[in-house]
Amino acid sequence: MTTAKRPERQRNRTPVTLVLAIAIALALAAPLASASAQPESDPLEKINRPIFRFNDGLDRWVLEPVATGYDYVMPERAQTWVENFFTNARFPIVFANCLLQGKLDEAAASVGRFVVNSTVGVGGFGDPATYLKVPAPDEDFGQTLGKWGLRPGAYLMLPLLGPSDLRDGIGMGIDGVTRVWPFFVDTWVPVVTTGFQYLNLRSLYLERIRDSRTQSVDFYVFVRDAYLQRRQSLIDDRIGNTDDRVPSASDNDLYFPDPNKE
Amino acid sequence: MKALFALVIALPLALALAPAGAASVARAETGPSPEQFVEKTANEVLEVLGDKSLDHDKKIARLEAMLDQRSDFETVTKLVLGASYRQFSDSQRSEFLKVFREYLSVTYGKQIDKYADQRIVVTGGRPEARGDYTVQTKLVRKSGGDLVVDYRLRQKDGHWVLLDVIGEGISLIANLRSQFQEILGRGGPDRLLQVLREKNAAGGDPLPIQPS
Repeated sequence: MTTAKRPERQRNRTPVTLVLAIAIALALAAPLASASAQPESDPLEKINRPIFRFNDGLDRWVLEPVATGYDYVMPERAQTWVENFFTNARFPIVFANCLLQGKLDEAAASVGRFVVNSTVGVGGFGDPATYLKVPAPDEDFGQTLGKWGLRPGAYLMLPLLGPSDLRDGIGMGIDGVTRVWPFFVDTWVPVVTTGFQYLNLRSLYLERIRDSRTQSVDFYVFVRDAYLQRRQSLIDDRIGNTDDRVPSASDNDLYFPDPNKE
Repeated sequence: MKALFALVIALPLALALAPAGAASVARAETGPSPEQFVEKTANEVLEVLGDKSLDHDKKIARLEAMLDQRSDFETVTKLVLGASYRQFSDSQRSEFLKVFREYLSVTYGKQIDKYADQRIVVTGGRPEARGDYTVQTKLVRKSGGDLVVDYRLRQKDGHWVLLDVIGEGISLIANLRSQFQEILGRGGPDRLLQVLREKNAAGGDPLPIQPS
């Protein structure tokens, strides 16, 4: 590799550093905002809401219409292939984080999945591993940090990237580095592929997101709560886990509200 | 971003099935197991949804009747308001019961037709604190992959009743509680009642995002 290439690689780091910079900036800003009576999980609501409005508007006016056209043109099967490909490509992240959490069975399953789907599944477009009932672990560094005991910190609404929190913002940055390949290609390649990945994903959820907008009385809070709940469930490995040893959500307050507490 | 999509899909789906869990309560002396309760109820709901002799409104009416007759909606109301329940006067409570029920019917009932060709498989269950029970299921869809849906049950007068639906790890009650809490914090019970009334009148159209 020539030295001339180096600035190129530097620039490729932008998404990672950007996310980290935002996360750190918001973390520093947190005490400023927490003076008001915001819920504990969302001290940055005053910053998050305008960003959410921006994301939501962008989605309504650009992403959703484009995804609707894409959905119309693309056969459903092809959409699934694309989704399979990107899921399969996440293998290094899943594998590394299985190991970091000491989940050897899951790490092995993720290897098995990757090998089967990359070969028999033709580069990951097919998903024979699911057909063969190989478990599909879903791990990332945000979950690993949660497993290690780090609390989520302030809820973050990131421009374009959507809901996150301090812990997951850091996790996203670290996972971004472990993807490695974007450092070896021109900047536009990861940008275009990621854009395409989101477009395809969005096209698979046209109806559901429309429904969620319709059902919620406050879509911002709907997304925030759903995000935080879902992440905690993933960290606890509670979703679809029928193992009795897995604890339920700490739900005493939810299912047995104390009538004497204000 | 992917997580957002996954979680956003889970809730509508969960509530579409909410009448399911609350529906059938056997009157037999030795009641059915929680798993049987969920399975039987899900099948009854799917039967209604797939009944071609019923139009959309009739289906809704049928499911609501099931829900009213056999669920403890009052407890669900209390859970959804949490500690804020105390702020409500008696008349506000009964008004909330009415408006909240209509809200569920208007917003979630709209979408029941999408779920007619799906199937529920009970995958497991576990006892919870104070005699509650969670039944774990998988919603098998024709396309788009399976979804994990858990049902939280409680015993009332010797029968199981549905308390909550947890879709892909997201509790419906908790999610609604968060949304209602935010509105209660801004304007108290009257404001929440007003927002729900507006929502019902709009027939479930999206509300503008609240300014911060």
